[in-house]
Amino acid sequence: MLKPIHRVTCYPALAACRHLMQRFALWLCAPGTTATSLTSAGLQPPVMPSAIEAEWLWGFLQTKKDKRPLLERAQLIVAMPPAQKVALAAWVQAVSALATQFQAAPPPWPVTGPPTDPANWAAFRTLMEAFYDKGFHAGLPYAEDGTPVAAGGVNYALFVDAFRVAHRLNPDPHARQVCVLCGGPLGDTPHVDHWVIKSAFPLLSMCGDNLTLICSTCNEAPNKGDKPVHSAGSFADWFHPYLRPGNGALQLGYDLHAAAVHCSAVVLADQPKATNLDGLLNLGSRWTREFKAEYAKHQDVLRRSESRRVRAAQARHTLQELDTYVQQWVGNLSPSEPHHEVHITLGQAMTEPARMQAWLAELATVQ
Amino acid sequence: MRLRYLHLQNYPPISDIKVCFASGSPLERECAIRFVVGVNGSGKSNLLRAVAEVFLAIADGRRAPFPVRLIYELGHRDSSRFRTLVLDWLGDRQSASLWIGDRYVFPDNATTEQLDQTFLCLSTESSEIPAEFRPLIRRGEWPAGSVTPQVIALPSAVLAYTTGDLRPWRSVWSRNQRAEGFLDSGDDQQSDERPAGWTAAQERTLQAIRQTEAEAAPRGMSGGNAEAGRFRRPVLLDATLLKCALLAVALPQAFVETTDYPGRAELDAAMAQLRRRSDNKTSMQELLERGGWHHLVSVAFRSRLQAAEWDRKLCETAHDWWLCASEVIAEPHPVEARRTLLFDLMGSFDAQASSYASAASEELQTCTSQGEALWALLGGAQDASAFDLFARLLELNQVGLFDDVLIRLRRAPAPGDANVTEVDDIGVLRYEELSDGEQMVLGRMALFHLLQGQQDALLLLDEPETHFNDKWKREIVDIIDDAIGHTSNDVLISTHSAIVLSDVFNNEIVMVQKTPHGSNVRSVDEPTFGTDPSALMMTVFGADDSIGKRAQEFIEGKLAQATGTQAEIADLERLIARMGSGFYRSELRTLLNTWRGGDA
Repeated sequence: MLKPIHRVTCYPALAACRHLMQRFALWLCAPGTTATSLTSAGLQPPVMPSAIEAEWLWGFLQTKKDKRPLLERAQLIVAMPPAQKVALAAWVQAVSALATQFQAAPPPWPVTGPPTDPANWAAFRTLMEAFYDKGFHAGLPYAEDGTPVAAGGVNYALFVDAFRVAHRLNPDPHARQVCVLCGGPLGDTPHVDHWVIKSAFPLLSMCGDNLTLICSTCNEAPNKGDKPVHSAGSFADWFHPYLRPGNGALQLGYDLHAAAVHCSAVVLADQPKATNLDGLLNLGSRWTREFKAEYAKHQDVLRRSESRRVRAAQARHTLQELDTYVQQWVGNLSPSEPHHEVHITLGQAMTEPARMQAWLAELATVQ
Repeated sequence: MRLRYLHLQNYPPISDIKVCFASGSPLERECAIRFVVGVNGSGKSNLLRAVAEVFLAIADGRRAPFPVRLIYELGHRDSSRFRTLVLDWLGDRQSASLWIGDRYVFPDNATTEQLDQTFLCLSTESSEIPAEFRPLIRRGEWPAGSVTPQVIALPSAVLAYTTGDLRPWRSVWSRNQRAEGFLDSGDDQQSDERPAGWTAAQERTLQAIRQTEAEAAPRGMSGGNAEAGRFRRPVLLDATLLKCALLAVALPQAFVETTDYPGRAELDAAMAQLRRRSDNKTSMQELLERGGWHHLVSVAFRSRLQAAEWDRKLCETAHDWWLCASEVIAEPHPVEARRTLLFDLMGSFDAQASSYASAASEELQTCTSQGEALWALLGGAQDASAFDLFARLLELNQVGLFDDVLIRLRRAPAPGDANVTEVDDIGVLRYEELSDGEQMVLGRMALFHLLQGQQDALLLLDEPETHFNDKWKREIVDIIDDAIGHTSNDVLISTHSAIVLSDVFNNEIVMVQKTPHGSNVRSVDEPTFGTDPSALMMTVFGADDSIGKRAQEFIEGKLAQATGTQAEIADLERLIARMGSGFYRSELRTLLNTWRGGDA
């Protein structure tokens, strides 16, 4: 959330898929839908918006998950008692309205799943998650602009590429890319993250506002992992990648007494959000680690340069030379490099006279 | 040999892991060296054991008792005999299959998904299978009794070595023994049960004894076939076999020295061949000297003479060994005929007087020292590599010719050389008298050099750096690389050492992670090659800081203090004077400067 996050070009396709999922889920929960309606013909318009989507959905239901076709899961949901269907439909409506959580006076957010049988819930979850696991990987029935197409629709690989392109800070293809959440390197194996976890909210497995590409360190435990991104159902004190972006609202600061980099908010009102984000991703401790690494690197450069001078019987570094070194290095920092913010923080800390003097004293110990 | 992909399930504590092994190192080495790291109890050793168990199963013509998928390459990539093997034991017996792709290479950057896709193709026998692939064992035909795929599907050798407890490894090996010996009798008598750790070799000996008791006649030559097969079966190196490896590597070394005097024509040829590899010789000698080894003095084999139980071929071999040894010492024992056969390498050897029974008799006729005789007995005269010697020793050890090897050596040149006096000389040492660390370094270095001329072998090393000081740890990858970097072998190493990891690239590291639902793997994204080990401690092993916890807590306590009195400033100055350089010392100096600034 340190960097700006943009909606990618294929966002309309993802949004269309979410609508399809919602429509399909509500149709399954409708009292009039029975096992006999679950056929290729039964899905045709007006049940689904178009024949292309109906065809795709029927094909999708034939795919197997854990050796059983997804159709069996859909049949299980259709066969639920009416009371459970009503509850599930209400839950689907509430979760679909994710965006309203970030507006004034949001409706209550369903923290727990709907009151259905565990077996039915598991079936629903598998079915909805399969839209991401199976459907998205194989290709959606939508072109980038969201119009239904029978072939060549948006898929997982295309989304990953589009996200990379949209968030590339340095146009050079060989340049290291930056993770939009932590500002560190995106790495060779970035993860597609569901901001609101899909295991608890399977309906959001395919939602343009819920998918980001982040570094594996951010995504894995002990960082984001399976942690919730709301406080007991309230999103009030939380940033959201698209719906309440945090870029520009965060700042880094180095505290000598804690020997650590802190993540804080620029505006005091945002402080709870910054604290929550820090807790979610352990930004402070990760940034501190990078801070110390960079600190050690520069001190090492200077120490080796000092020892070269000592061997060549030249004059040792002066405060002026040290200052020039720091100025030059800070001047060369590029905002498109990973960890730019941490390096800037280090640069600011370096220019403090007390630290500059300390470094000079350190260099004087080089033999 | 090159492992490419491993998908392992239900091998506690490993629940389900997919590992795409790095291929094509930027260093352009033919040999693949890969590392498995993780916290204690995460299942690093188990991952190695699982790989060993797969090859044991193939060697024994069985299916591993856990779900696994493996892709590996055999042969040099440019050669016509290059092949990729795809083994799928993920499902039940009906769906098990083994495919071979002649001269087919999966691209170096193939991803887990692409390889999974291959498995899908092969299991459904779809039309997308590359033309190079053909089934060795088709789905539903497992096991194919008549077709034994061992020769084509097995690496030339699989060696496993652990510095930890041998017992879990032994249990893997004994779990995989052939069932022949056990299936004969169906009744449940007490005498048919075997104690834990009972090996196939012991079982065969027992069967042999029973048979001789029943028939009162020696067994024929039937053992030959089984022996040929056993050599390709994966080998677990225990202390004795490690000494055999050391002997196999050091014997040619000692041999060159003994034949420095003009010898016979054949031996000159052998020498010339050894001299062509003279750079190997010196690097090997250097390593030996590091382990406190100057040269080999004598070798002794401890044997239990069982002429009645041994087959004829083995008796002939034993006969020659007994004749060639300089001394055969009998050990007192109420039942067994225990002998120690001593070979004094420099001792003179008179071949003319004796008549030999075994195949090596011709070579033996020309030997002038006991070292040469031993070399000939081990088949060394036929241009054998160290690995061939080891294979011979292994075979003889397994059939029971000897139980243990006793090695005696000198730490320094023998007195008599001009600059060494009698007083300084500490004399001849037993191998066991070297320090623990020296024994380890000798054994392990021997292991790497054993594979020097060898192709297509797989070496599984479980924490090989334990007992080493930090300086040796830093060199271990280099030593492996020097010894076998240009052979097409594969080395899979589990390690805890951040120092070792600074020698390898991050994609060559497999990180095993402990989770409440069993272990899984993650890739290492942080650059490791040429990185400071203390930084690796933090990035790979997740240590909080590059300094010790005790120092860190004390220093952080100091830093938290906003202002200081004169006495505290003096205290802090004294502390700084005794600290090592780094982040914390310069931050404490900064703190000192701010305290002083506040006072002024």
